[in-house]
Amino acid sequence: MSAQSSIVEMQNIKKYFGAVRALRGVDLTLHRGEVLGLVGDNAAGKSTLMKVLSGAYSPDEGQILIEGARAHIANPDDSRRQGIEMVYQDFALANNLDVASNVFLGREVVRWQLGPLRIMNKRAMEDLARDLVARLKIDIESVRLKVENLSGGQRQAVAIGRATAFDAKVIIMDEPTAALSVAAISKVLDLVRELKAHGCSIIIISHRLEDIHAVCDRVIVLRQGRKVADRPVIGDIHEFREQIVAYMVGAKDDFATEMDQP
Amino acid sequence: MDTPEAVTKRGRMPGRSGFSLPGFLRSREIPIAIVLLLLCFFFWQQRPEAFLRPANLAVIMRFVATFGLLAIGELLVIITGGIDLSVGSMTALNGVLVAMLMTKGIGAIPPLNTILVSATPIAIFPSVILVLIFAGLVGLWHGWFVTKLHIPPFIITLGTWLMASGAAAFITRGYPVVFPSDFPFLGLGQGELLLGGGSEAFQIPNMFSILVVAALFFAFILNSTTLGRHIYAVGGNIEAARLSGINVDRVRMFCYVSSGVMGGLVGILLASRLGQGTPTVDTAYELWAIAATVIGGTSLFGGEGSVLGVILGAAIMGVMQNGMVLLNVSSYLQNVVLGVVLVLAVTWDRWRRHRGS
Ligand SMILES: Nc1ncnc2c1ncn2[C@@H]1O[C@H](COP(=O)(O)OP(=O)(O)OP(=O)(O)O)[C@@H](O)[C@H]1O
Ligand SMILES: [Mg+2]
Repeated sequence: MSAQSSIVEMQNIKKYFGAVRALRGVDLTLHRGEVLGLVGDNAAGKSTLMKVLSGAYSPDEGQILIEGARAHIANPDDSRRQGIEMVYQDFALANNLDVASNVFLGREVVRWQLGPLRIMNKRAMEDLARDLVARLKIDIESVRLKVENLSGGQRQAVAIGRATAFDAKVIIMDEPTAALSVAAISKVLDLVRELKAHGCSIIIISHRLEDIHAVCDRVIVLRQGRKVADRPVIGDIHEFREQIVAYMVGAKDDFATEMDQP
Repeated sequence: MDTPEAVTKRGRMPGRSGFSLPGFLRSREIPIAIVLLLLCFFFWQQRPEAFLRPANLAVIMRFVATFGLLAIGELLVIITGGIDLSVGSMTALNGVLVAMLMTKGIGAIPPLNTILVSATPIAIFPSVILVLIFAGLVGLWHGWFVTKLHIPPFIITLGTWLMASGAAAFITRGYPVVFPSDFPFLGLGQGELLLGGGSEAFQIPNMFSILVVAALFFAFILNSTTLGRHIYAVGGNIEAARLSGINVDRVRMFCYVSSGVMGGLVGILLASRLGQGTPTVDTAYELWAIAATVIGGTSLFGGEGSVLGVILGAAIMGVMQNGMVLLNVSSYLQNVVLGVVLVLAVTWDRWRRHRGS
């Protein structure tokens, strides 16, 4: 794939939390229609990097290009407007609201506008949410159930459903299978393939290397806030796992410079 | 996307049309309304000649209006997970301010007393507007500290509580600011709508009509607008709300400003009702308002509560207080009973919530 087909380009992203250097200058390119895996040990900076892309954090340094153009992502709304959706590691659902409200949170269907007041079309949102739940075969009795009454797996399904409901160009999934049973995991992986077939570009963070191996075209490994590997997913799962683990623990590093050595 | 066991274990819920008794009892408002009706029935039984008299009902309605209005403002703030402790002494300060502006005109404010304007009915409308703006600005001040400086709402509004009660006493030197007895402004708080004729005509105090309008307005905001949904979302999970693209600071600002304005409104109404701006009398009103919101099923942890519940909570307090007066219960004992009711209400609410999930 040529550089023109990249949909997201993150360049030299740095993010510090006080003394913690969570990201120390990371480059990441996502191609159109590609599924990219993002792996690394705990605290490697995976979630932080993706939260920079989703607008949850603003980077201390670096820039982001969307479809080749410099993008200003100052908050989650900016990112959504660019067609980027994220499934957060902790789901980011309002437990006191029902499923339909959560799916449409921040972009409610508006019936009419009365000055600054926007009156919601609740019925339309419920119907659309019900369609979504049916389409994704999410096992939920009613979209009017409050999220606090759902199981962990159901919540994760709702979070994934919400991200896929709005024709996003780019979908980021942070540990989308962490709370799921084996059967449910394969459903998520099928969903990823389906989204890809529809032209969506996807980034998946996961500790389950077999999931990365099953659906990803390419994988990026982070270690201590740096990118240490960026390579296509090839070979069988054992070979793949061995290689990736070597990067994760620091035995291998494709991007090492003297300056980066601890 | 879940194991079948997990699905069946959880989440029974009455459907859109289906009626179920447990769901009915687990709803927030209906049990409160039943308690209110039982209370009314009880006091009517005890004092049949006094309780349902229109004049007595008007007394209750004024009480409900006072604390209902404050409690609606409190409700908005509490849903977002905050609290507004300032409303009681802000009510006093706003009452004093409106009385001074109206009786002494702009001249009441020391640096401006050179361009003294004497008391005229013309001053009524601008004075009311000025005080409401002032009250809203104080709310904005709270919102600003809470959202931008991350000061706990408890602390910043406690600071205002002290400042407002001190300021109200200071600018009046502790004396009430009394209106002339024929001042037209007094009709606002003292007047009522009469339904039917004769001495036993049903009276709806203006204050109560204002409560009804405010309640409808804020119930509409909370239930039907995106703003209302975002208020609940902020209370349920502020980080999730932010990540959903909601401007959470603006949402919280709105709630603090609303609470401030309600304090201003009640200050104005009470000044009119009492015929004077009183610097000392209203300083515990915020606690009564908070009690009404809690009895009305509002969670102090945020994310839950309704205008209807809060009005019912204020009504329970109003009916109990009035009923106990009719039964000659000592006023000290009245507070004990109301305290017990408050504790029972939160206990029941906890139980209801635990059963629900
Ligand atoms: N909001 C925050 N405030 C302070 N430090 C943070 C914050 N978010 C992340 N960090 C720190 O940044 C580093 C990277 O965290 P991050 O969550 O990106 O790791 P991760 O790769 O997603 O790990 P995991 O696999 O455990 O999810 C960690 O040291 C973490 O403590
Ligand atoms: Mg993470």
